[in-house]
Amino acid sequence: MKKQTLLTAIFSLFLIIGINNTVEAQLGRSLIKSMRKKGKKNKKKKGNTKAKFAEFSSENDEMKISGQYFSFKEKSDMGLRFVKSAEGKIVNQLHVFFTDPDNPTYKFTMKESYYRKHQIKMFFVWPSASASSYIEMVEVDPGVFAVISGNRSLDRYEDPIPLFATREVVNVFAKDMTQFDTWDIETAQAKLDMIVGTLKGAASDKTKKKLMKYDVYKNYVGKIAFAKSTNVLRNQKDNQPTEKEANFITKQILGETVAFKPYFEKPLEQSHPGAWFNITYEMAGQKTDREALRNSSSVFGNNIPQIDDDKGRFYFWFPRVTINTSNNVADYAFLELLRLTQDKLTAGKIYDLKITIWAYKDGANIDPVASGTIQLEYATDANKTKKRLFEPVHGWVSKIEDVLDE
Amino acid sequence: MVITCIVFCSAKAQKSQNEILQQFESGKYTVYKVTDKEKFEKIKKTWPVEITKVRDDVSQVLVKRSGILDELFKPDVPGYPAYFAYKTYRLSFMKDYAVYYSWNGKQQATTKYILVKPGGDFGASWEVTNKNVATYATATFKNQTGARANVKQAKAKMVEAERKANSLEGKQVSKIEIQLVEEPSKVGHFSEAIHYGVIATLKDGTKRKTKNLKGKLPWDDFKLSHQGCSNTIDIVRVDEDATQIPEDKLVLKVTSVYHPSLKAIKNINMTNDVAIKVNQNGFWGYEREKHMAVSQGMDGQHAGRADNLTVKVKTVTHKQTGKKINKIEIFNTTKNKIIARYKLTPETQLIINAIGGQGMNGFDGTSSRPNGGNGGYGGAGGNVTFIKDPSVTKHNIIINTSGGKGGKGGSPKYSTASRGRNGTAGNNGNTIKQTKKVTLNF
Repeated sequence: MKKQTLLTAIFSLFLIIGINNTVEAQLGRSLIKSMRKKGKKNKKKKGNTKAKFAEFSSENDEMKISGQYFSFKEKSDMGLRFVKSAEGKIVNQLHVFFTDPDNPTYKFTMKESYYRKHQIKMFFVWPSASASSYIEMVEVDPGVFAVISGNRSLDRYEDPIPLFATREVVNVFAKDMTQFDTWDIETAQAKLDMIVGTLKGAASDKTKKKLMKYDVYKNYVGKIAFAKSTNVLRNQKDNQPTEKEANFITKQILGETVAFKPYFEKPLEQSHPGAWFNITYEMAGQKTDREALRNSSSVFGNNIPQIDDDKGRFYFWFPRVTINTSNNVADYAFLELLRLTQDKLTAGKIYDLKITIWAYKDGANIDPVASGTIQLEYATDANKTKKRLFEPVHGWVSKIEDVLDE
Repeated sequence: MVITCIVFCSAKAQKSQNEILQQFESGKYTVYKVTDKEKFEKIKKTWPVEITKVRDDVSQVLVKRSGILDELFKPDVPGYPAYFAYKTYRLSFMKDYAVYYSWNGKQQATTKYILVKPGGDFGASWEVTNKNVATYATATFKNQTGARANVKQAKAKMVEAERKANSLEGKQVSKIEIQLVEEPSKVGHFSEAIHYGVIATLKDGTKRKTKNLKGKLPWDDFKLSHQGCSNTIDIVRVDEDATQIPEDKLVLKVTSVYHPSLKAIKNINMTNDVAIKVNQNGFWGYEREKHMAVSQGMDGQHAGRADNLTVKVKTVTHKQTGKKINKIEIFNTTKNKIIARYKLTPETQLIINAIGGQGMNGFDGTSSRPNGGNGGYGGAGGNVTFIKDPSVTKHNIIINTSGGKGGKGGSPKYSTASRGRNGTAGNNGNTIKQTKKVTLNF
């Protein structure tokens, strides 16, 4: 009885594997792999298929896409057909035929808004849920399509991968093989980068328009908002700055938590391509610069990381802090400022702290992208500023002095 | 010594792209691309490269990628460029060729193409090319100090020219005034920020406005001396301490730096109608380690008791509107310090919490210690003395002094083991109400 159960289980396992392989073969792990296989198959029966797909060239559609195409890598042919409607519905699909001219191997969906707004013909398909299966086809020149793989997965398979995802051209399809003299993979990639750049620019304009509907962004663009904790500056969704202005501060006790969040006119990757962020702190006639400190010694180099995130955003996703007393985190550049100014600071006085966020490239601050000033009051209460900064063991100034003394 | 000299001399001898490009002309360049195996492979087609010069300086390099895509590269530092940039790509000309590469924050180059000038030669490996171009670029950056300073100076000159054009410096000004971007509906401690700007009227009648009023008048033109709020440009916030607002109004005051006799003042009456919550609660059991040394076993930590408070209230007259307002002082008798001083209308709610902290839950049993740990005790509520001046006829002050809940006992690992005991809740604090004469010095 036990033997029979075991045999049944093994048989079922083979059956499952067999079924999976069949499905995989039908869908193809990726278009790229299937195209390679397809190319080899086609070479064997070249004469027939050429004749089969040649008929596609006589078809006309409003997009001027349909026709017989050739693959750059395999030099094999295939049929492409633009299908506007099916079963009485507008579908705007691109059918790709590799083997049977009557049954499309893939049905790509058109990203209609890209065509409507920018006349860019982009089609995509998710053969499976895996990110590696994603295939995109973009017309880079009349009669020339770049075949693209992506590196992102999505929850919604009705959409293409987002614009900020990495797109790699893996093949080129052209109606005329002489077009490959111009359109190799590198060139198609360069043109695709340009197209994506255009779309990103348009998407950024749209995002900015949307952001301007938020009072916080509208009032603080080019400025820095300050708060007593990071959580009041955070928000849950991309490009929805729902933080409340009522929680922002313009004055704080020196030594207490100051969280800050800059809002930019444009994402840094657009306003200053190739640059990253730098921060300078100015108070009581002294100034410290994160990048300058980072490059000055290994102590600062190890404790001041480069700010390379958020280059594609209109604001920092995670607010930064000068000092955060709740988790004992501080910016070493701000601590250095406190160390440098400690002799000038007196109880009962208020000091303006100016923070500037810079676009930084090749060892220099290029342009300021946001700035703000907060007033820091040296509290007369000995348990506040004095304790926070100068307590011999846990005081912030004592800590930075200890680190630098090592 | 010799090595040092070579390094130093080579750094000093580093040529800028302007000098190197003296040996280059526009033309059709032979292109090598990088293969997957990080080897160079010659591309069939040549790419047109157009070099534009203004005297000896190269102002731009146009690369027609594959002969069809225009990529316009601009110098990084005009006058002494180390490279030409197009989006995130860079182009640096070396001996007979140009390296087309990307750059990262670690000062590393990744070559994508090599563009060899007509009649030129190229034969290095990909790794060596990356190294060479990175060495060249970083060495050139060091020599760019003068040129960068020139660029910086030129930028600063432009900024200064714009500032001067929009500033009141050297101009005849008849008056300056403060304008609120939007009239605030509530002005009180913790109310929303008040956005304001300055308008200057020149003698010829033209007006200059600060940026938030859609003008370009620089804030540096003014000295601020606000009272009752933060002394900041663009946005001010009401002081949290009522002692800083003795006249029940905010005074925004700016003085022209270039015309010290010109002043603008804007008074904003406090409405004192923003609800406030003050917490002087005990710490929770899981936070006990922040307050004292603890040893952690299976049992949850006990929570802290809330602080004892004395709350004094007195009704006075608003110095601007004449309406009744309550002056409130909260004194922490445990820590012997004043916590808050507010002025609120009798209807405005003030919640004062002196609630005991919640005990920490006991840990669940483990295979080595199967019994669940006991929950920590809840902290006691604070004792609050509420002293009301006879002048107070109405207030909306709510005081909460409940004890904190005990932590839950941990679950046993096995059915044979025992569950931890739940921690006991903390005792409620007492609130003593008194009516007697109160003196508040604000």
